[in-house]
Amino acid sequence: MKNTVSPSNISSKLTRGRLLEKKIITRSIIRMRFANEEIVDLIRPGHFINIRVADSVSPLLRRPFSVFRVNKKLMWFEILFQIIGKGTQLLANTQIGDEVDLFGPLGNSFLMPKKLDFGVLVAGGLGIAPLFALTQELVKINVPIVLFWGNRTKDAFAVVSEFEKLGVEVHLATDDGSFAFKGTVIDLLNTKIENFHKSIVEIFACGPNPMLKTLKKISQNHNILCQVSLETMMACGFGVCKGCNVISESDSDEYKYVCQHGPVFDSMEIEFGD
Amino acid sequence: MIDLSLKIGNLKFANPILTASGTFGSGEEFSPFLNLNHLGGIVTKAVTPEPRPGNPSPRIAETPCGMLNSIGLTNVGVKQFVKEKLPFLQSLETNVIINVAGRTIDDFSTVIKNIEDAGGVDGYEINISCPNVKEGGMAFGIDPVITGKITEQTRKATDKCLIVKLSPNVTSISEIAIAAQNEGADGLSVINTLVGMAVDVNTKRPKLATVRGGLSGPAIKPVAIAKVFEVVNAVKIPVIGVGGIMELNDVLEFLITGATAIQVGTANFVSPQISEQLVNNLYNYCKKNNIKSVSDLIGSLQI
Repeated sequence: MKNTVSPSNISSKLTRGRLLEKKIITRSIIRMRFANEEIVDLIRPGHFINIRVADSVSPLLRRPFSVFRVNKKLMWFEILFQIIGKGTQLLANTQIGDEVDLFGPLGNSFLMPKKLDFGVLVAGGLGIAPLFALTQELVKINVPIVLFWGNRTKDAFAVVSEFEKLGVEVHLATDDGSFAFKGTVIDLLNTKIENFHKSIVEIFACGPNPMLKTLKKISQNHNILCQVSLETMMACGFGVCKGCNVISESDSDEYKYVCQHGPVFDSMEIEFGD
Repeated sequence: MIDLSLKIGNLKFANPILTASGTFGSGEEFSPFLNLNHLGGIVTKAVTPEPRPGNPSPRIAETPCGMLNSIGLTNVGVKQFVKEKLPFLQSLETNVIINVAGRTIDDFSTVIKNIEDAGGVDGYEINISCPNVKEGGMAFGIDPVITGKITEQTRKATDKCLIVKLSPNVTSISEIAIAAQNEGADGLSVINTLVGMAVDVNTKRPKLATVRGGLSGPAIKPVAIAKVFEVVNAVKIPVIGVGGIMELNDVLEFLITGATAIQVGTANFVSPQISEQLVNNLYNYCKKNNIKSVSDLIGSLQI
């Protein structure tokens, strides 16, 4: 079994970053750009940053965000997130110029492929976030990229132009068919997957667990390597609290921990359950 | 010169700031963020005789000013602990306290004997208060007779500092505290987590796979203060205050109530460097207020 998991032995820093830009993508989806000289050089695709959204005990815990984009020259990074509760709402309220408490980069990163005809990205909803940082790196090593992305509504696709600017071939789906393909991103992928049979491809995915579970089966059936980035509740983000357990496929007596062994796993390493 | 030092049993601590079990791994994870040797002591995550994978997911849920956990004493077991985690702890100058848990009464002395053979630790904290395991844990800590038996047995297994960590989920915590004191405990940690539960109203499912878990964080601080108050008035041995400490004022509150030392818990998840900061903040507070010894603060409560 291939082991994509590089131990997260990167040096994480407790630092602060000034909010440089806040872009409202839809009513509930926000992209934020933070200046930071300490950690941008350490960030690899798949890493996450644990952000303290308020200097307060409510909410108490930091919130983990995948890095969406990095600019090492201008020393900033971006996150893309949806307002889903009090914590993300407080973060969304941050004003340009305000400093935010950052802890990262945390976790491991996508294992960069040696030689590929295509990198196939599969995203469900905001699972798109780490896949843009990955695209930035794949483009650098001249890997052609095909993106399959599913969303509930059309307006959530706003950042797709960023992918198109980097030459990514884009296939979109909405659940109700109100835009592009009607169905799930998996349905969409299934209509195209035969096209990849004669090529060397690898799948890189992030999205809800049921999507990743199905994707694992598809990649097994078609004998394609598949790296998945997982999302769970976590309290600490650096392997201490043991709160972010997922079931290991290889060893039923052992759990894997998303912040410590992931968030990126070979899909074959994870038992997604029911 | 300000004296922050204190003693529990025969063990001297450089200052009263310790870390709480389960929130500080085995110390090494925090070494990039603070100087471990500046702390009064480290209490490790619980060690059991056999490896334990812990409970199913989800194991944590955030609640107002706190969090619920149902980790379930995940650990590699004492043999692997001695091999993999202990060498780093042995290299530290700060006091190293091993938190010990078990399914049976004998399990506690089994763990202690294994660690005593390896050496290099300063004491043990007996965990009879974990709410997240089916056998042992809190089931022991709510019974004064079993508490007495485990304290007696572990006392025989080591001459080192022996601390018993108490559960708040009891009718009379002082009764349990007295049982531990009478069988030779050097100190008491007060408190472990409170049993709590949260429900997702959309799915109508509990937020934790184990349904109930342990509540920690600032939400439990007033309960912890009340339990420390009760225990210090019932026993003669030192009490270590634990529960919701986030800042200096919280440390002072516990010391004034009568705690000899404190443990920082959930705050370590949010601010990995916080425990060392609290040592500095306490020192500066004493200096500014012309307090020569931290012992002048302990139990200075005015009623």
